[in-house]
Amino acid sequence: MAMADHEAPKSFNLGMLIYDTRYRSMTIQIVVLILFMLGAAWLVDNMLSNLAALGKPLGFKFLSDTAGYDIGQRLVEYSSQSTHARAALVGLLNTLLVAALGCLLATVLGVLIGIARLSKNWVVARLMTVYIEIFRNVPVLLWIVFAMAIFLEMFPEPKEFKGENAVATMDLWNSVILTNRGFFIPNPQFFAGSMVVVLVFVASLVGIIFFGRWAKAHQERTGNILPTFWIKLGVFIVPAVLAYFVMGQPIGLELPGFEGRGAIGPDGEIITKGIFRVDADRGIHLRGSLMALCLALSLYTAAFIAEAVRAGIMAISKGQTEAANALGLRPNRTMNLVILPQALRVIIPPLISQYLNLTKNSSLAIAVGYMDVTGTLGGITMNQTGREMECILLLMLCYLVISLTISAVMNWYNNSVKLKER
Amino acid sequence: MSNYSFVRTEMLSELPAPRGETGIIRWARDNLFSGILSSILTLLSIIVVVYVFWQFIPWAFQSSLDHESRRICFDDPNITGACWGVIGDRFNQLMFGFYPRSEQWRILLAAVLLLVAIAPILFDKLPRKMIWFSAMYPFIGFALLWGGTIWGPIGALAGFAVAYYAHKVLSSFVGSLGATIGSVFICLLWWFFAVAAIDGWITSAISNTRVEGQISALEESIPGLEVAVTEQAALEPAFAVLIDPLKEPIDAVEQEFEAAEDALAELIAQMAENENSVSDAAMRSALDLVFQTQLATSDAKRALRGAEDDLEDAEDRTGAAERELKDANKFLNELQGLPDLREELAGLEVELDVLTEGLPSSVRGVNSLTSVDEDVSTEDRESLGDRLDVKSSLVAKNGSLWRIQLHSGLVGFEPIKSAKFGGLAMSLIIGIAGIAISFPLGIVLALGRQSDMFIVKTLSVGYIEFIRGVPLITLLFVASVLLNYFMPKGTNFDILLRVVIMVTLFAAAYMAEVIRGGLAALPTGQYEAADALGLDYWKSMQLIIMPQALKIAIPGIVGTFIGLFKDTTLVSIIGLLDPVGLTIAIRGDSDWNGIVWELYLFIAIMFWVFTFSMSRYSMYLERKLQTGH
Amino acid sequence: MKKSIFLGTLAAAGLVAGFATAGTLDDVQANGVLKCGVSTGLVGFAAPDANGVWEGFDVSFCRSVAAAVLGDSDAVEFVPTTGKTRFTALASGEIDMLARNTTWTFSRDVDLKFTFIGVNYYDGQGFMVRKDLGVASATELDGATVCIQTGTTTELNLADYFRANGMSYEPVPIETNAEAQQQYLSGACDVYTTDASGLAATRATFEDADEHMLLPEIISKEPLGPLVRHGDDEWADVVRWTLNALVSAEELGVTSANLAEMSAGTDNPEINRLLGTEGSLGDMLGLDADWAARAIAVAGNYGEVFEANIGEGTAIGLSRGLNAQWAQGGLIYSPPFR
Repeated sequence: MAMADHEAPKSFNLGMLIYDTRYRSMTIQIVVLILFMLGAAWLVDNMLSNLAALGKPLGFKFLSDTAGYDIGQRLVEYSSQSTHARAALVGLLNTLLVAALGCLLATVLGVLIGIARLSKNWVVARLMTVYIEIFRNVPVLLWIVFAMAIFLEMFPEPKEFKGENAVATMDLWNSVILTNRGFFIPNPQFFAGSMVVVLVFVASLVGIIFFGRWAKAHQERTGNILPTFWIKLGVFIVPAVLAYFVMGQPIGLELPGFEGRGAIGPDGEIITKGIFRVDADRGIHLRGSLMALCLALSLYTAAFIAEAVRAGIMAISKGQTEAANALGLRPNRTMNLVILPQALRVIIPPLISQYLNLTKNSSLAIAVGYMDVTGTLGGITMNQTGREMECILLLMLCYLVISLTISAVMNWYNNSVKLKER
Repeated sequence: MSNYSFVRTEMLSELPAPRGETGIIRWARDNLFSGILSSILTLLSIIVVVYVFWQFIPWAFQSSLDHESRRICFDDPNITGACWGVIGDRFNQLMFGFYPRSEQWRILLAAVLLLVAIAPILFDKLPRKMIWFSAMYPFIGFALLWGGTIWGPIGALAGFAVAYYAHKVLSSFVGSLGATIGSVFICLLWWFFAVAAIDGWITSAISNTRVEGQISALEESIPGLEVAVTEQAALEPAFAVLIDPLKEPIDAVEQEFEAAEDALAELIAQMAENENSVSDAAMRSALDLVFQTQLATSDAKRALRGAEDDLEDAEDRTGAAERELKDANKFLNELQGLPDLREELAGLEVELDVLTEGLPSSVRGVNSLTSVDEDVSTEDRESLGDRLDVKSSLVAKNGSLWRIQLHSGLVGFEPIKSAKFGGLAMSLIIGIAGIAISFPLGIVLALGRQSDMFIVKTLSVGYIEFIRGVPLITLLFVASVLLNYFMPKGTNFDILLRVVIMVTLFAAAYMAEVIRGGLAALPTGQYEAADALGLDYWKSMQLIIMPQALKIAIPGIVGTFIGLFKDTTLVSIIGLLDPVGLTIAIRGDSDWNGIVWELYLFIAIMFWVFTFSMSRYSMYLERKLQTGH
Repeated sequence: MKKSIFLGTLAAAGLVAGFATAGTLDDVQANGVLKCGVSTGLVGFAAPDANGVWEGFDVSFCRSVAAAVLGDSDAVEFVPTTGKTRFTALASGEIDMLARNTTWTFSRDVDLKFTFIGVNYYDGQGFMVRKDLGVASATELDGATVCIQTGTTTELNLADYFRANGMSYEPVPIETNAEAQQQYLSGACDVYTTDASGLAATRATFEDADEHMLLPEIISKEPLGPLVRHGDDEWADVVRWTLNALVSAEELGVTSANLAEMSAGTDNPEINRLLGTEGSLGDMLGLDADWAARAIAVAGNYGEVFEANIGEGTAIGLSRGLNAQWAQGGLIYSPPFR
């Protein structure tokens, strides 16, 4: 019986690129790469020639032109004489601000709602279910518009604070003004000697961390549980307060106030000039658009986070709780030491994508007049300069960098809490 | 057996549980007031709910359902809340956009067929053969919604058959992989070049056979249409006459109303001076008078409005008849002009040939005067300019010819331009098209991301992370302002198509992640078993992996669809008239300028109903597919 | 033709514009429809009614152009555009002309490469305040919170004005009129600024219109007009002279009521030239003789269109002001038809 010759052909031939599994994947990859590069080159070539035909070749010089428009909400110095690039930066910082505040608020709300939904209390559980179903099933654009309108209706306008018999009054011992233009809160002022207070405060924070470690080690060594919370709280407050009084109260609060016709001036006289309004130079102004946007985004996202939290807690099998109870752990320690650490691993991946969603949804800020990066770079700058291509590419780049950073940080955190398999 | 008389011989009947341990009280104590915190929360929740309803109910229900403008709502004393008339007035628009009313059944039919098409995917008890219908649905849906010749969609569908036979024929020559590549190439050629030509050829052939009959039919029907217009116009005066007599009494009743109000005000002023100077009876009768005259005024106004509406309707009917006549006349003119148009075309072509002959060969192919080399003589420039002019009008005349032939030789539904799409129908079309088209793309991307091939994997990951890293709104900006820049100069995609393309690219990235989740959820044993059976990659994917992975992924796909459907509201920002975009358009009508809440609330409820039912369905699926315990 | 074959299936489905030539006029005639970019909804200027029929001042002009070119005032495809999308829609050929309250500025004309064919409404940026704010002039607005409708030249004018007068302000930029209106009415802004016509239209819809007033200052010139792509003079001429025909018709006393009568021929040679009974003006444009008569027949002359859509008889109630004929002290002026 003649054996078939199974030896691979010694010399290389072209057919092998397709039929030989050793080379096939390489061939496919190269073909895909070539196709991709051809496609990309075709698109870019079309774009360049189209832009050239319109007389606006690709270029980013316009970013150094004067922007010409004003932005109310800004974290860095900016005026209408600044450049478009500066306007884009202001917008970017505003995006980051609303995203950070929104994520924080959404997490707090989401966790509370998620836990409340599992509550034994029938009314609370039902109410939370209704909340979740209503919020996550209506487009976020509508929620943003609704939140702004509710904010506008709920808080008084500045003129209601005017006069002897004002309809509205300041809150929290005359330190906070809540209007539908935003909240005005006190601005801390640092005088000579305030450094000492700050240093003491930082030192006590460091102390708290070390105490926490020591207490844990102590517990592991002796089995005694110290009342760490109260001690930490004491260390947190007492030294700083002491230093504050010892140094002669070097940190003050600049309270917000009113100015314009009808307001009471610094010497108690009644001002007769100008429009009655909250003084822009005193206190910190949290603008209404920021508040409403934050609220809408976090209420919307909280509904999703709540579901993730609920799913996370439910994913922990009942045996875990029972085992913890059998060990004699009290309910709050069961939650802290057994349930939450396990549930977190389930909760964090969806949480990351919710943070990303919230950040991306903040691009709808323009609906309420909050000047985020879509409003400046992708809005007024784009309209005024007519440089759609450059503006949109930059805009995408901004969001891409933010998103990738968030997911990188959160993935790092996720890895650090992940079950360590040994 | 001893006699223990103190032992009961029969069981006592069960006693009711102590009061407070059963029924509603026990339930309330367990579920509402189980502790201090719980009680506080219960009370707080109840207060919140009551407060919200207290604020909302009067606004929602002290309202009007049928007022024709916001001003009328303001003027009506019975209405302190919402003015829902806007919904009644614009309901059709919010649902179907500008789609012609007589054709709206096509949208509804497409929706029903869609349910039929997705049924075999969602319910596995249905016959498998129905999947063929699902595969054909995109083409059927397109032909229904956009209309136009059916040869386009049929031709596109035929591309698959062409590819199939090409594969069959080629595989005997170049082997299976070569055949696959070749058939894809042939399919693309077919779609890019053959379909339009076949469509044009069939349509003009049909048109040629029809023209004679159409001309005589139009000639016959036009006199009848003319009569209809005059008849309708003749009806108008009868309605117009009714209006003036109704106007007259309004002033009188309004004066009465004002007088009654003045009288009442006087009485009140008297009362303020001296409480006893006015008798209760006098006060009551004054109040009655005010009320009655007010009613009379609004009745009179309503009667007038009714008459005016009737007249408007009559005018609308005349307008419709006139439009019909105008269209008929226009079509007739076009048809009768066809021979002339053909002659003109032939003349132009001859002229073009002559001009082309006269040009030096170096500039014959030039398409624009600006791109001519500098060394070309002025004479040649001039004749090139002439040539381009002739060419331009040749293209235009060809366009006219095609348009007329399309009109007369149309087999299929009346074509509807994308500009006519809007409202909820458009949101659904964008959402469904996005999900459906992104599905195969998502599978490819998910497989690419799981692939061992470095370049393929990098490209897939790069694409997915890029799309997931930017907000949809930036992609919609790309659709609205940039996409045309990426196409050869002069290409002009329809805006709806551009949006669908970008939404598809967007959804594909999310879809890929969902499917990857499904792939990852499969135990490795499945992959190994497939390998052990000796299946190659594609076979194992097609027969073993994908069916299971996709089943697991269905709830995720439904979730992606819900998200995408909600996100379609963003198209309003680029000027498409989806329900949210329509609110701007509706406020642009001076009748409804300034109306906000009624519209937004209606839209919110509309979206809620859709997405809530879908999310419930996906939960049901999740439970059904749960194979663990 | 080349690309219509290239994207065959899409072209067959009508999703890619089938024919594109060097001339827009040829395109419009080949497609049998005029694609006109309008606002997504602006009271009095462009909005669809309950039946989906577009109406308004800008819309009416589009219809007149369609009637002149195609002989059918319904052969218009209205493409709603936003402040962002309008220019690219025009530049990419998605629309044949743009009639969307667009201010004629140097940079738009020169840098963005458009041709403004004239001015159909002379507007200016104004301020609206509540009467109880106690402000009689825009120069007293120091420190005010200002709601701005963005996407236009508005925010630039405002920044310039406050800077020139050494005043500070808090800008609240809003994309849509509805949200801006809501912020203004709830008192979150002291002032609302946009084009004066828009302010008047907005104020007319307030429940308590009497408690609001427009300040006397108009801080900018906003000549609003239709525009076309740069470099297609033949098409620009058609659109330009359609507008001029409507204006001339008012000046010469041609109305929708007497149009039929005048089209039969009059003693006034200019009317005859306009309506095509004398001379060959239509021919020069590449249209037939009675193109202008058809344009006027759609909704009457310029004055009639104005009165029907935004004039004093409507809910918006704008007076002619600058937009009166030059003989009545306005700026509306047509070159002669000769």
